Amino acid sequence: MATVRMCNIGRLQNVWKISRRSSYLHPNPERNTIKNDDLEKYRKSCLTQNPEKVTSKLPDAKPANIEEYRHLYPEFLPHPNWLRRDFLKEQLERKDMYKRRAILSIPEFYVGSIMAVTVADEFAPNRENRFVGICIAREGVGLDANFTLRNVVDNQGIEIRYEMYHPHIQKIEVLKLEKRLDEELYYLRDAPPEYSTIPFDFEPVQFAKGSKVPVNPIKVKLNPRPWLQRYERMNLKGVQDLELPQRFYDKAAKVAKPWEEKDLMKNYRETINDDEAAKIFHEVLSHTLDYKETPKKP
Amino acid sequence: MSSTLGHGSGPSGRIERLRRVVTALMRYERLESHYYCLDEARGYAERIIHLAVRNGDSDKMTMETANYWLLEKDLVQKLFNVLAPRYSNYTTSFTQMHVLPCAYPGPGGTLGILELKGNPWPSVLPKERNTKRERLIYLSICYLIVKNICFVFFFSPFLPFPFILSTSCMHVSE
Repeated sequence: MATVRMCNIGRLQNVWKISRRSSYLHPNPERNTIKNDDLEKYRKSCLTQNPEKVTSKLPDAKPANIEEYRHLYPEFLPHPNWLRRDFLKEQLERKDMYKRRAILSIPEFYVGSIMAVTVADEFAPNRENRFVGICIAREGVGLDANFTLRNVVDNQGIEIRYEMYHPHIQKIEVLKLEKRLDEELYYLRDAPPEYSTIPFDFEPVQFAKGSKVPVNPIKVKLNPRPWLQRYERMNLKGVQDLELPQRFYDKAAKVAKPWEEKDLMKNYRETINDDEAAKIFHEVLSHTLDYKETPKKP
Repeated sequence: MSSTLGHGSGPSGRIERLRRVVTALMRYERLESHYYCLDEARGYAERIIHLAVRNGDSDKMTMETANYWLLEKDLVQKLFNVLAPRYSNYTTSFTQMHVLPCAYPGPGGTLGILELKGNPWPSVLPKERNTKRERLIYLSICYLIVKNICFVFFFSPFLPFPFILSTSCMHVSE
């Protein structure tokens, strides 16, 4: 047979067996035979066919200002947990965010800034509700991005959590642009009311564009325990001495995890890396994010 | 050195052990140990080298990181002066891992090798044979030998095994 003659002598036996066996199944024995030479190219490992290439292309340099944009537009970065990620959803959400920003001004703000938000409210007089407060938290990614305003009205602490891209929001104003020493100000809940009392007629403080955002170095004096959280374990910078018995500090030192700051891979997995962030911000900055009201023609 | 570092010593001991492995890797460029320990240390070594390549020794955060993770301080200089230039053009990973066969009787765990790419040691893997080329060379040598023998004995009437020689000759030429 042709197949037998083509192969060399060492493999003759195998090919002969295959063709004999297949002859039971098929009237034409040459149909089901596999030539060893044809098999040869599939016998190699994947690496020999696609070896790892070391090209001379330089890796992209670290883009400038990436840290600034991380703080300025944190909601554009996707969730760092890979189990929660969906590339299509992220893209579509970003598109919706550009559309929303094209008709609503969402100014630059940080935790610690004093803000006023006007929301459409069917049952309020003038069908709108304006709330003034200090921003104590900014969370969420994508269309879920939100911030929390806190104020004390009639000796009653009030916090409202606004979704930034919610269609009910009509206006977001930043009355005083500043940062605080901490990234979250939840401890204001356990502080005397004067730290979070802001009058509703608070006059906006002018901020020179292009200058550095000031950091308010105020240190808050907390109420005595009981508290809502264990603040002694949080390494807060914006609070005065907590005046606790020594056993609280001992316990805090016992449960502290100082090595987590140094854990490179933990840090890497819990943040969006610079390359990906640069790619996203490149896309974000190609859109107009600052909506400016044009004067209406009479 | 306590022997309890690593498995069973908690998260702080884990970091402590990883620091030793990373330091040893930067020093010797090839390590042989338990596979899963090396696999865990690999990411940290890659990350340190990547930071060194990206930011250089002028960046404060990178310098602090290298200072923490490399226990022997002469390796900080090696990182920035030797390894960072070596890997500056790489688009692939900087390290490589191999699984070693299970030794019996032995420790029982999977053993492995972790090495930096471009190290001065001889390669772990054997050189891959090009069987096709070797076969061609072998056949051509056979052909030359048989041809010469044929030439000598062609006119001889008492040729030993003339049939076999002539058929193998034909086979080779085919």
